[in-house]
Formats: sequence, structure tokens, C-alpha cells
Amino acid sequence: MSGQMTHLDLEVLAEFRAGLIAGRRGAALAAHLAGCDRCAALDTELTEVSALLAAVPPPTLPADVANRLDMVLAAEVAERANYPERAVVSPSRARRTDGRFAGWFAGNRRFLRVLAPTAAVVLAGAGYGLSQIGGSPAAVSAGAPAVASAFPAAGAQTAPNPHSLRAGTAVGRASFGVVASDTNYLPGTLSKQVEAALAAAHESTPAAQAPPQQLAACVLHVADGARLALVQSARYEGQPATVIVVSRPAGDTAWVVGSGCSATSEDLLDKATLPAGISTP
Amino acid sequence: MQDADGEWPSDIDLLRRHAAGDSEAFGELFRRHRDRLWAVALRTVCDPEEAADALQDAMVSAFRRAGDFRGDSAVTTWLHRIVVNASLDRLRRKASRPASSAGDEQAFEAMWAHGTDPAPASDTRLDVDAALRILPPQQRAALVVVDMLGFSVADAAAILEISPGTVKSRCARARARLLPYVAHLRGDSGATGGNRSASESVSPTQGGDA
Repeated sequence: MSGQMTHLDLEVLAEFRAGLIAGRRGAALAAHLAGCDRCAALDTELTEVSALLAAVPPPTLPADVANRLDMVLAAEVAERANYPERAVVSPSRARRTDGRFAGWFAGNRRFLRVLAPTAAVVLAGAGYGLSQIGGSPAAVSAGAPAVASAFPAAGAQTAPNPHSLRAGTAVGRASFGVVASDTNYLPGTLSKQVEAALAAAHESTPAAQAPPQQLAACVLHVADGARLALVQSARYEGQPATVIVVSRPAGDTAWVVGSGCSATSEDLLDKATLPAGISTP
Repeated sequence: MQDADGEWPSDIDLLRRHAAGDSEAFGELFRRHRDRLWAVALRTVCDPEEAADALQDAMVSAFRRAGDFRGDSAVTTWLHRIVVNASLDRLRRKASRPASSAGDEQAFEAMWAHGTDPAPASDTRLDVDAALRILPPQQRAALVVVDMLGFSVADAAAILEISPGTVKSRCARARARLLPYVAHLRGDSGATGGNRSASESVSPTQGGDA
């Protein structure tokens, strides 16, 4: 560099162009630039860097990333629809919980990436992996006994607890499994059939599957914050339907909803009130 | 998501609706800006997978922290700030992981091989993306926001949460450092058919202090 001492350093030139060097030093630099072809050429090149960067075509958001974002957002929306008290989070609270959420997403990012191509589900329990993804809920064990159970862990997590609700387990609170059943529920015998399904569910724990996105939102809407005792994919009068048993201290309620059930409407086919405590042995 | 009178809602309207419980508003807002936010994340972290994670982190954070928005900056500034922070967090986390040159090489390859764009990537873009990797993350973030996205120094200062003077100084150093790596692209901006061998001149090992 000894032979170039009279020329301007590239960084100094860049700082001068950014307006960071003024006064006598700035005047001296300007004077040098005016009389030195080499430094003037460098100066031109430097200004062209910005022009070059500005002209680079922007990257397109890849479709798989867009799908993944849509799914994560849908899970957030479904989660908030069920727990509106989380809608506005105070800054201090948000910062405290963000780390935990970020951790969850970091731990599950590969999982989410795998999920992305299918229009499936994101509602997994924190620390409780989904057993299966994609496909219709009815695809599991079609010939299996007509029994089902929500995950025991999910039941525990959905127990009313305002502290855990704000403490970062929000995603976990939405977790439940759907079990396929070949039961054909009928109007006259609905409550008896549901009681039988609940009783059978206590004896064995059948494989449950993660719900499709719309069903997940539907179930959260129906449950309205209460514990889920059973989510079963079955039939009602021969038509595909989902049986959702919501457990409250006052008693359990069995909802039978059609395929139109969503985050905002039930598509209710039938409903039955069950004796209190029936879902807890 | 047009209003009854046929007007498209403003960003701030959407954010307020979201904060008030509207389940569609945030999605509408985020979709409006996510291509640009993706550009920020991708160019700041220089790795498509990490960028996707950063953008996802940022989206979730923005969704949950809409109540934090005070209206002292534009909604786009606020969103960009969250994405830049998420991107730099990703880089910090990555830096704290045991580094392997193989992993870095893979990420580099992945960036070049990420061919899901409907339009073929121009050589200029690839060369610039590669060159950006030589910059320290903070300088890179400043340069991306100012020179590539066209934010004013004042807006960039708000996005990056640094003083305008620091924005200028980071951009100046970044331009100086980048110049040797992109000099061959001058006059070729945006055009395809750039000199393929030019990319070979970009080597992270040459990225010493300018």
C-alpha cells in the first residue's frame, strides 16, 4: 500500500459519498477526487454498486415456504379463535413467551417443512408429536372397534389454567387426536352410542390421527376452551360426520357435526347431553 | 377483502382489525408484504432454509405482538424490523452452533440450487447473492434495506433500530467491501447472460477487512 498513500482508501471514499466526511477533510477529499483519474474512476464504480444492487430482481417467495407460512398462520388463527384472551399480549408478556414459542418452532421446523406440501395440520402438542399427518381422518383402521379417545395428554393440557394459557403452551393446548370409527350414529340412540364409545375408549387407547386443518379449527370452535373427551370420525345416519364430546364440570355434550364445520360455523347435525362425569372414569 | 365501499383497507386498518379479533386481517396484511419480507430475510441470512425459518418466526411474532404496534412508524417498517431481527437472531443462533465448512458449503449450494422461481434467476442475482455473503450480517442487513429495498436512511434506521449515521456508515463500508466482488457486473445490472465465470471470482476467503 505504500505506493498508494496519495490515493483514497475505498472505505474512506464510500464514507465520503455517504456524507459522513465533511469539513476540511471533506474538502480535501473532494479536491483530490477532482485531480485524480484513478480515484475518480473508483468513485464512479462505488456509486454503481448501489445502482447494481437496486437493479437486482427480487427473489420470489418459494411455493413451499408460502404454504408453510399459510399453515402456521392458520394454526395461529385457530388457536386465537379458541383463546381470544390471548388476542392482545402485553409487550413484557410477549417477550417472555416469544423465546418459548421460537424454541417450539425451531424444534419443529423440519416437521413443518415435511408437512408443508400437504394441506394438513399444524396443531401439535408442545413435546407431543403428531403420530401421522395428511390424508383423511377416516383412513385409519377402518375396521377397528368403534371407540376413540382424545389424547390423555391433550385433556390435561386443556384443563382450565389461566397461567399455562399465557405461559407459552398455546400450541399444545390445541392438540387432540381424531380416531376413525365405523360407528353409524343414529338420532334415537346417539347418547347411548356416545356413552359406549367413551367407555370403550377408557379401556384401550386407539391410534389417533391429527385432524385436517378445517376440522381442527372446527373442533376448537365447538370446544370453546373446554376439555375434549373424544373426537371421532364416524358416520351419522350414514353420512360422514365428526363426533366431538366436550367435557365441562356441568356435564358432557356430544356434538355431531358435518363436513361443513369450520372455525366459524358448526354444521351441526345432532347434539346430545350426557350425564356429568361420564367421560372421566 | 375489500370494504363495503370497495376500498382496499390500509395496512394500519388491517393491523387494528387483527388486534380487535378479526381472523382474516393479519393474513391479508402479511400476504401483501411477504414477498418483500422474504427478500429481506433471504438476503440477510443468505440461506433459504434459515430464511424461511426466520420469516416464519417473524410472522408468528408479529401476529402475537400486534398490540405492541404504537403507530410511530409505518406498518411496513414495523414488519421489516421484526423480520430483520428474526433474521439476525437466526444468524446468531447459527453462529453459536458448531460450525462446519461442509454445512456452509451445503447452504451455499442450496441457495444456488433453489430453483422454484417461475422466472429463471439471472446470473446477476446469483452473483450479487453470493457476494453479499462476504459481508458481516449487520452491514449486510443495512445494505439490503437501503440499496436493495430502497428504504430511506431514516426508515432504515427505524427498521434496524440504529442511528441514521450508523446506517450510512454500515452501508458505506458494505459498498466498499462489496465493490471488488461485483465490479465485473457493472453495466450488466438485471440482465441475463452475465459472465458465468464471474462467480468464481467471488470467494469468501477473499473477504478480509477492506
